[in-house]
Amino acid sequence: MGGTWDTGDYTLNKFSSTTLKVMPLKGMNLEGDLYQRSDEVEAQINEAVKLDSAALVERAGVSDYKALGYLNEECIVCLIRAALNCNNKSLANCLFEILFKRCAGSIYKRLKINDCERRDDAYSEVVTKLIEDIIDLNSSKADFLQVRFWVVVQRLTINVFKKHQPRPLEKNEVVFDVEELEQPGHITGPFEELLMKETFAEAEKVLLGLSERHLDVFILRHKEGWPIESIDPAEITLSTHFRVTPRTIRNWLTEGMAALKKNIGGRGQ
Amino acid sequence: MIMAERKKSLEDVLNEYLATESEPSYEALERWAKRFPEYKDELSEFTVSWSKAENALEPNVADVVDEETLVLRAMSIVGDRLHALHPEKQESKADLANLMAEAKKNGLTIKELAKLSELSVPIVSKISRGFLDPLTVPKLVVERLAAALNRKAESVAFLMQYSSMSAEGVFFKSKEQPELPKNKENFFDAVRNDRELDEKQKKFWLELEHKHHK
Repeated sequence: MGGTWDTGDYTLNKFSSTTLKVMPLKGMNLEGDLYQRSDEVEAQINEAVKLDSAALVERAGVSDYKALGYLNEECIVCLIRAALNCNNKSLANCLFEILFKRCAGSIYKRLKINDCERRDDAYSEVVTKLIEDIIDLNSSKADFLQVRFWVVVQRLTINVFKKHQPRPLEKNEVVFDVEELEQPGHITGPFEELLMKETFAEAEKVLLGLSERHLDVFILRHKEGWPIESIDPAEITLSTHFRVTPRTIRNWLTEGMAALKKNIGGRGQ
Repeated sequence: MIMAERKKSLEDVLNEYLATESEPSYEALERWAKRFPEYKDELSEFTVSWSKAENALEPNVADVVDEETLVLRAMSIVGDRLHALHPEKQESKADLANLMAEAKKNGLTIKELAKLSELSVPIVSKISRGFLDPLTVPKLVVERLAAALNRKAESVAFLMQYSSMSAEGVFFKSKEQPELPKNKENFFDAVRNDRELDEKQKKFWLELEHKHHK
């Protein structure tokens, strides 16, 4: 112990310089042009790569999107890939943490699944897909994440959402009295209009008691305006989508409407 | 004029579908199904799912998962995936993910690592867990640890800076985040307060403080 020792620079910053290798985008849009990051994101990347790793992490950690120096999620995805491109896993790890601090809550919130376990599984599935696309340096799967990050998150959550919905109950065999409806499946009078105002909020609760298809068909018909059938065989219709006859679709709609009427009939009339 | 459509993946088409259309609608579906007839069924299915997702009620769940837990879960998956990435490459300074894991790889206990570095177990533990302010740690400490671990000093220095992001790096699975000290300790204060180092060792390290502040 004792004796001479190195009295050189004691700061650690000299060890932390990292030359990030930003990867160009290779994916193409519908017009056949290469995807392009926005000017704002490009400017952020150009500034970020000049920073040493400590400063970069600090900068990426700015969470207020209105603050000066804020780095968009698109930029952070690019920097994660750049870090992995020079095998800097530690920096990639830090940037991932920053990214998930921004998006984890939003992903979970979009997965409106009643069953806790299914919701957790769905969340893990979305997160896993996001991570795997970002770290796959050999493909261009992460390119659009650097163009429109939240669009990709939305796509992933939609795809996973349906997959993890609770299984629908078996179709109820009870046939509802539908004589009051002039045209099955169509909104006709003031009662039906009232029904519609309340319905989309109530539909899930009531119609899932019949089956998931009753709910799907109801919303697609009355909210999205899908046709039941068409003389054009190429046209997408409820009948072709669900692969049943138009009559079956009408029966589902009728049953759904009757169930809703029964549910809110006492309040609506 | 729309150029001839190149073969695009379903993911690409769905990305642009979502980016273009603000909400699910039959009219939008028709347009996109005509444009990409090879994906008509998939676009149809996706639109149904999108519509359902938009109209779904907020779940009635008793257990609300807090964001910290969600981030921890995500980072657990990140850790797994990054660990599996190019596992044979150990050269880069950035691959030194954890001081204690590296010591173990070298067949060292924390006690042995501390002895080789002429530090104490508590101080090595604090360095490993990111509890010390890395800017107060002398270069000599970095070099001694690096020598003991048979790694470059740059790798150890880099790790010390980023182990402060979370406890034990982020490679853990837990619903509750471990408690971290609010302020990082100055290395020299840690030496002063250490109960394992003898007076001679303390004097040795504390003399560097004088040079550090010059």
